[in-house]
Amino acid sequence: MSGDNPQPTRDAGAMIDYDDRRKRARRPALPMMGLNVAPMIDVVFLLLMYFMLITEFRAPEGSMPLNIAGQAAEAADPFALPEAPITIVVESLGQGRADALWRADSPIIGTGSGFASLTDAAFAQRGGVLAPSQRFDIRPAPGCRWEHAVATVNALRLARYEQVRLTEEGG
Amino acid sequence: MSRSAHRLPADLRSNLTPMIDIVFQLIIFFMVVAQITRHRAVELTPPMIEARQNNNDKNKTPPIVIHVIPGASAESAPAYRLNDELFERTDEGLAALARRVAESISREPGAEVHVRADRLEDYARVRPALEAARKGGASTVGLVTVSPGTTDEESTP
Repeated sequence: MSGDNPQPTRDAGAMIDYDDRRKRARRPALPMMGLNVAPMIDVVFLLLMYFMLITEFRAPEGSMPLNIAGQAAEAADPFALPEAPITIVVESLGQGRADALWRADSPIIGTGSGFASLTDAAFAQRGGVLAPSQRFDIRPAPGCRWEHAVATVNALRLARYEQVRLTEEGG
Repeated sequence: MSRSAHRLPADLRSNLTPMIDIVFQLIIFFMVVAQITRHRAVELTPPMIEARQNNNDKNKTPPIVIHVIPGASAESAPAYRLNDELFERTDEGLAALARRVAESISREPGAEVHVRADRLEDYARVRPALEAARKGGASTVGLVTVSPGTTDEESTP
Protein backbone atom coordinates (compact mmCIF):
# COMPACT_ATOMS: atom_id res chain seq x y z
CA MET A 1 0.00 0.00 0.00
CA SER A 2 1.22 3.35 -0.72
CA GLY A 3 -0.04 6.77 -0.06
CA ASP A 4 -0.52 8.73 3.05
CA ASN A 5 -0.73 5.79 5.42
CA PRO A 6 2.71 4.42 5.86
CA GLN A 7 3.02 0.75 6.84
CA PRO A 8 4.35 0.28 10.30
CA THR A 9 7.95 -0.51 10.34
CA ARG A 10 9.28 -3.76 11.71
CA ASP A 11 11.30 -2.25 14.45
CA ALA A 12 10.48 -3.17 18.02
CA GLY A 13 8.50 -0.09 18.97
CA ALA A 14 6.41 -0.14 15.83
CA MET A 15 5.55 -3.88 16.28
CA ILE A 16 3.94 -3.19 19.58
CA ASP A 17 1.82 -0.45 18.09
CA TYR A 18 0.77 -2.63 15.22
CA ASP A 19 -0.29 -5.60 17.37
CA ASP A 20 -2.21 -3.41 19.72
CA ARG A 21 -4.14 -1.87 16.85
CA ARG A 22 -4.97 -5.29 15.44
CA LYS A 23 -6.24 -6.61 18.76
CA ARG A 24 -8.40 -3.59 19.18
CA ALA A 25 -9.95 -4.14 15.80
CA ARG A 26 -10.85 -7.74 16.58
CA ARG A 27 -12.37 -6.98 19.97
CA PRO A 28 -16.13 -7.39 19.89
CA ALA A 29 -18.18 -4.23 20.19
CA LEU A 30 -19.10 -3.29 23.69
CA PRO A 31 -22.79 -3.62 24.52
CA MET A 32 -24.72 -0.39 24.48
CA MET A 33 -24.49 1.29 27.83
CA GLY A 34 -27.87 1.99 29.37
CA LEU A 35 -29.80 1.83 32.59
CA ASN A 36 -32.11 -1.08 33.13
CA VAL A 37 -35.33 0.71 33.94
CA ALA A 38 -37.47 -2.39 34.38
CA PRO A 39 -37.09 -2.58 38.19
CA MET A 40 -37.80 1.09 38.47
CA ILE A 41 -40.98 0.72 36.45
CA ASP A 42 -42.02 -2.19 38.65
CA VAL A 43 -41.57 -0.14 41.77
CA VAL A 44 -43.29 2.84 40.26
CA PHE A 45 -46.30 0.76 39.28
CA LEU A 46 -46.45 -0.70 42.75
CA LEU A 47 -46.42 2.79 44.19
CA LEU A 48 -49.13 3.82 41.78
CA MET A 49 -51.33 0.90 42.76
CA TYR A 50 -50.75 1.58 46.44
CA PHE A 51 -51.77 5.21 46.21
CA MET A 52 -54.73 4.37 43.99
CA LEU A 53 -55.98 1.89 46.55
CA ILE A 54 -55.57 4.04 49.62
CA THR A 55 -56.99 7.15 48.07
CA GLU A 56 -60.44 7.98 49.35
CA PHE A 57 -62.49 10.51 47.52
CA ARG A 58 -64.64 11.87 50.29
CA ALA A 59 -67.23 14.57 50.07
CA PRO A 60 -65.84 17.84 51.36
CA GLU A 61 -67.20 18.62 54.75
CA GLY A 62 -68.07 21.99 56.16
CA SER A 63 -69.18 23.15 59.52
CA MET A 64 -72.06 25.20 60.79
CA PRO A 65 -71.19 27.27 63.85
CA LEU A 66 -73.46 26.89 66.83
CA ASN A 67 -73.33 28.84 70.03
CA ILE A 68 -73.20 26.52 73.01
CA ALA A 69 -72.29 29.06 75.67
CA GLY A 70 -74.51 29.32 78.70
CA GLN A 71 -77.06 32.03 79.34
CA ALA A 72 -74.63 34.16 81.34
CA ALA A 73 -72.29 34.51 78.43
CA GLU A 74 -75.06 35.72 76.19
CA ALA A 75 -76.16 38.59 78.40
CA ALA A 76 -73.82 41.09 76.85
CA ASP A 77 -76.04 44.16 76.93
CA PRO A 78 -77.30 44.84 80.45
CA PHE A 79 -79.89 47.32 79.15
CA ALA A 80 -81.41 45.01 76.60
CA LEU A 81 -84.86 43.79 77.41
CA PRO A 82 -84.89 40.09 78.04
CA GLU A 83 -86.53 38.30 75.16
CA ALA A 84 -88.12 35.03 75.88
CA PRO A 85 -86.72 32.43 73.53
CA ILE A 86 -89.10 30.53 71.33
CA THR A 87 -88.75 26.84 71.95
CA ILE A 88 -89.15 24.53 69.00
CA VAL A 89 -89.59 20.83 69.65
CA VAL A 90 -88.42 18.62 66.81
CA GLU A 91 -89.62 15.09 66.36
CA SER A 92 -88.31 12.61 63.84
CA LEU A 93 -90.97 10.73 61.93
CA GLY A 94 -88.86 8.73 59.52
CA GLN A 95 -85.53 8.21 57.89
CA GLY A 96 -85.80 10.93 55.29
CA ARG A 97 -84.28 14.33 55.55
CA ALA A 98 -87.63 16.08 55.78
CA ASP A 99 -89.47 13.42 57.77
CA ALA A 100 -89.73 15.51 60.86
CA LEU A 101 -92.38 17.39 62.74
CA TRP A 102 -91.69 20.61 64.54
CA ARG A 103 -93.86 22.59 66.88
CA ALA A 104 -93.09 25.91 68.45
CA ASP A 105 -94.39 27.07 71.77
CA SER A 106 -95.39 30.30 70.09
CA PRO A 107 -98.42 30.51 67.82
CA ILE A 108 -96.50 32.96 65.69
CA ILE A 109 -94.41 30.12 64.36
CA GLY A 110 -96.90 27.34 64.89
CA THR A 111 -96.43 23.75 63.90
CA GLY A 112 -95.41 22.06 60.70
CA SER A 113 -93.54 19.31 59.02
CA GLY A 114 -90.45 19.62 56.90
CA PHE A 115 -88.01 22.43 57.31
CA ALA A 116 -88.79 24.71 54.42
CA SER A 117 -92.07 25.57 56.14
CA LEU A 118 -90.20 26.45 59.31
CA THR A 119 -87.92 28.76 57.37
CA ASP A 120 -90.89 30.39 55.69
CA ALA A 121 -92.84 30.80 58.93
CA ALA A 122 -89.88 32.26 60.79
CA PHE A 123 -88.75 34.50 57.96
CA ALA A 124 -92.27 35.90 57.48
CA GLN A 125 -92.24 37.22 61.04
CA ARG A 126 -88.71 38.53 61.01
CA GLY A 127 -88.58 42.26 61.52
CA GLY A 128 -92.29 42.35 62.29
CA VAL A 129 -93.58 40.40 65.21
CA LEU A 130 -90.19 38.87 65.86
CA ALA A 131 -87.03 40.87 66.27
CA PRO A 132 -84.04 39.86 64.19
CA SER A 133 -82.31 39.09 67.47
CA GLN A 134 -85.06 36.72 68.54
CA ARG A 135 -83.66 33.70 70.33
CA PHE A 136 -84.69 30.17 69.50
CA ASP A 137 -84.17 27.11 71.62
CA ILE A 138 -84.36 23.89 69.71
CA ARG A 139 -85.39 20.98 71.85
CA PRO A 140 -85.19 17.67 70.02
CA ALA A 141 -87.73 15.13 71.20
CA PRO A 142 -86.52 11.75 72.46
CA GLY A 143 -85.49 9.68 69.49
CA CYS A 144 -84.90 12.71 67.32
CA ARG A 145 -82.16 12.19 64.81
CA TRP A 146 -79.12 14.38 64.59
CA GLU A 147 -79.90 15.31 61.02
CA HIS A 148 -83.26 16.76 61.97
CA ALA A 149 -81.81 18.72 64.86
CA VAL A 150 -79.19 20.21 62.55
CA ALA A 151 -81.79 20.86 59.88
CA THR A 152 -83.89 22.81 62.38
CA VAL A 153 -80.92 24.98 63.25
CA ASN A 154 -80.26 25.43 59.58
CA ALA A 155 -83.87 26.36 58.82
CA LEU A 156 -83.72 29.18 61.32
CA ARG A 157 -80.35 30.28 60.02
CA LEU A 158 -81.80 30.44 56.56
CA ALA A 159 -84.52 32.68 58.01
CA ARG A 160 -81.65 34.92 59.19
CA TYR A 161 -81.90 34.25 62.88
CA GLU A 162 -78.54 33.89 64.51
CA GLN A 163 -79.53 33.30 68.13
CA VAL A 164 -80.24 29.61 67.82
CA ARG A 165 -79.33 27.03 70.41
CA LEU A 166 -79.67 23.32 70.81
CA THR A 167 -80.94 22.36 74.21
CA GLU A 168 -81.52 19.10 75.99
CA GLU A 169 -84.00 16.59 74.81
CA GLY A 170 -87.58 17.15 75.77
CA GLY A 171 -91.03 16.11 74.80
CA MET B 1 -28.07 -14.58 -0.13
CA SER B 2 -26.58 -11.26 0.47
CA ARG B 3 -25.36 -10.24 3.83
CA SER B 4 -27.82 -7.38 4.10
CA ALA B 5 -30.77 -9.80 4.01
CA HIS B 6 -29.69 -11.29 7.35
CA ARG B 7 -29.26 -7.93 8.96
CA LEU B 8 -31.62 -7.38 11.88
CA PRO B 9 -34.06 -4.52 11.60
CA ALA B 10 -33.42 -1.31 13.36
CA ASP B 11 -33.75 -1.09 17.11
CA LEU B 12 -37.43 -1.68 17.80
CA ARG B 13 -37.44 -1.07 21.53
CA SER B 14 -40.25 1.20 22.55
CA ASN B 15 -39.47 4.52 24.09
CA LEU B 16 -40.53 4.23 27.71
CA THR B 17 -39.87 7.81 28.68
CA PRO B 18 -43.39 9.18 28.07
CA MET B 19 -44.93 6.27 29.93
CA ILE B 20 -42.65 6.83 32.90
CA ASP B 21 -43.51 10.51 32.82
CA ILE B 22 -47.22 9.78 32.92
CA VAL B 23 -46.86 7.18 35.64
CA PHE B 24 -44.92 9.60 37.78
CA GLN B 25 -47.55 12.24 37.20
CA LEU B 26 -50.21 9.76 38.33
CA ILE B 27 -48.22 8.89 41.42
CA ILE B 28 -47.83 12.52 42.33
CA PHE B 29 -51.53 13.07 41.76
CA PHE B 30 -52.57 10.22 44.00
CA MET B 31 -50.04 11.15 46.63
CA VAL B 32 -51.44 14.64 46.78
CA VAL B 33 -55.06 13.54 46.70
CA ALA B 34 -54.72 10.69 49.15
CA GLN B 35 -55.93 11.78 52.50
CA ILE B 36 -53.21 10.40 54.62
CA THR B 37 -54.17 12.11 57.77
CA ARG B 38 -52.74 11.67 61.16
CA HIS B 39 -56.13 10.78 62.54
CA ARG B 40 -58.26 8.80 60.22
CA ALA B 41 -61.82 9.97 60.26
CA VAL B 42 -64.60 7.80 61.60
CA GLU B 43 -66.69 6.43 58.77
CA LEU B 44 -70.00 8.24 58.88
CA THR B 45 -72.20 10.49 56.80
CA PRO B 46 -72.73 13.93 58.28
CA PRO B 47 -76.07 15.68 57.83
CA MET B 48 -76.72 17.49 54.59
CA ILE B 49 -77.75 21.10 54.69
CA GLU B 50 -78.20 23.77 52.10
CA ALA B 51 -76.99 26.66 54.19
CA ARG B 52 -73.69 28.41 53.97
CA GLN B 53 -70.87 26.45 55.46
CA ASN B 54 -67.48 27.40 56.73
CA ASN B 55 -65.29 25.91 54.09
CA ASN B 56 -62.83 28.75 53.94
CA ASP B 57 -60.61 27.30 56.64
CA LYS B 58 -57.50 26.91 54.56
CA ASN B 59 -55.42 29.21 56.70
CA LYS B 60 -56.92 28.22 60.00
CA THR B 61 -55.50 25.78 62.44
CA PRO B 62 -56.94 22.28 62.13
CA PRO B 63 -60.13 21.93 64.14
CA ILE B 64 -60.51 19.80 67.21
CA VAL B 65 -62.97 17.20 65.98
CA ILE B 66 -65.10 15.10 68.31
CA HIS B 67 -66.40 12.12 66.38
CA VAL B 68 -69.57 10.43 67.55
CA ILE B 69 -68.91 6.79 66.76
CA PRO B 70 -72.00 5.33 65.10
CA GLY B 71 -73.47 2.09 66.31
CA ALA B 72 -72.11 2.16 69.84
CA SER B 73 -75.25 1.48 71.81
CA ALA B 74 -73.91 0.05 75.04
CA GLU B 75 -72.61 2.49 77.57
CA SER B 76 -69.36 0.60 77.95
CA ALA B 77 -68.63 0.82 74.23
CA PRO B 78 -66.59 3.79 73.11
CA ALA B 79 -68.98 6.39 71.84
CA TYR B 80 -66.73 9.37 71.15
CA ARG B 81 -63.35 9.86 69.65
CA LEU B 82 -60.99 12.78 69.87
CA ASN B 83 -57.76 12.39 67.96
CA ASP B 84 -56.82 8.78 68.62
CA GLU B 85 -58.46 8.53 71.99
CA LEU B 86 -61.78 6.82 72.60
CA PHE B 87 -64.26 7.82 75.27
CA GLU B 88 -67.22 6.03 76.71
CA ARG B 89 -70.60 7.54 77.23
CA THR B 90 -70.30 7.52 80.97
CA ASP B 91 -69.75 10.29 83.45
CA GLU B 92 -66.07 9.42 83.65
CA GLY B 93 -65.70 9.15 79.91
CA LEU B 94 -67.43 12.44 79.26
CA ALA B 95 -65.40 14.16 81.95
CA ALA B 96 -62.23 12.83 80.34
CA LEU B 97 -63.46 14.05 76.97
CA ALA B 98 -64.06 17.51 78.37
CA ARG B 99 -60.56 17.52 79.84
CA ARG B 100 -59.04 16.52 76.51
CA VAL B 101 -60.98 19.27 74.76
CA ALA B 102 -59.71 21.78 77.29
CA GLU B 103 -56.14 20.56 76.81
CA SER B 104 -56.48 20.76 73.04
CA ILE B 105 -57.86 24.28 73.23
CA SER B 106 -55.03 25.36 75.51
CA ARG B 107 -52.50 23.88 73.09
CA GLU B 108 -54.11 25.48 70.04
CA PRO B 109 -56.09 28.51 71.18
CA GLY B 110 -57.32 29.40 67.70
CA ALA B 111 -58.67 25.99 66.89
CA GLU B 112 -62.37 25.44 66.51
CA VAL B 113 -64.16 22.52 68.10
CA HIS B 114 -66.17 20.48 65.64
CA VAL B 115 -68.70 17.78 66.40
CA ARG B 116 -69.01 15.18 63.69
CA ALA B 117 -71.89 12.74 63.87
CA ASP B 118 -73.79 10.56 61.48
CA ARG B 119 -76.98 11.99 60.06
CA LEU B 120 -78.99 9.07 61.43
CA GLU B 121 -77.49 9.36 64.88
CA ASP B 122 -79.77 9.85 67.85
CA TYR B 123 -79.52 13.35 69.20
CA ALA B 124 -79.27 11.93 72.70
CA ARG B 125 -75.86 10.52 71.78
CA VAL B 126 -74.61 13.74 70.23
CA ARG B 127 -75.74 15.98 73.02
CA PRO B 128 -73.05 14.78 75.50
CA ALA B 129 -70.38 15.64 72.95
CA LEU B 130 -71.71 19.18 72.71
CA GLU B 131 -71.81 19.36 76.48
CA ALA B 132 -68.26 18.10 76.76
CA ALA B 133 -67.14 20.74 74.28
CA ARG B 134 -68.85 23.41 76.33
CA LYS B 135 -67.31 22.14 79.54
CA GLY B 136 -63.95 22.05 77.83
CA GLY B 137 -64.14 25.76 77.23
CA ALA B 138 -65.59 26.06 73.74
CA SER B 139 -68.23 28.72 73.33
CA THR B 140 -68.99 27.79 69.75
CA VAL B 141 -68.86 24.45 68.04
CA GLY B 142 -68.97 23.68 64.40
CA LEU B 143 -71.51 21.09 63.40
CA VAL B 144 -69.92 19.07 60.63
CA THR B 145 -72.18 18.91 57.60
CA VAL B 146 -72.00 18.27 53.89
CA SER B 147 -73.64 20.12 51.07
CA PRO B 148 -76.18 18.38 48.86
CA GLY B 149 -74.64 17.08 45.70
CA THR B 150 -71.24 16.42 47.18
CA THR B 151 -72.03 12.83 48.10
CA ASP B 152 -73.63 9.99 46.24
CA GLU B 153 -75.71 8.87 49.16
CA GLU B 154 -79.36 9.45 48.60
CA SER B 155 -80.77 11.56 51.35
CA THR B 156 -84.36 10.46 51.13
CA PRO B 157 -84.89 6.73 51.14
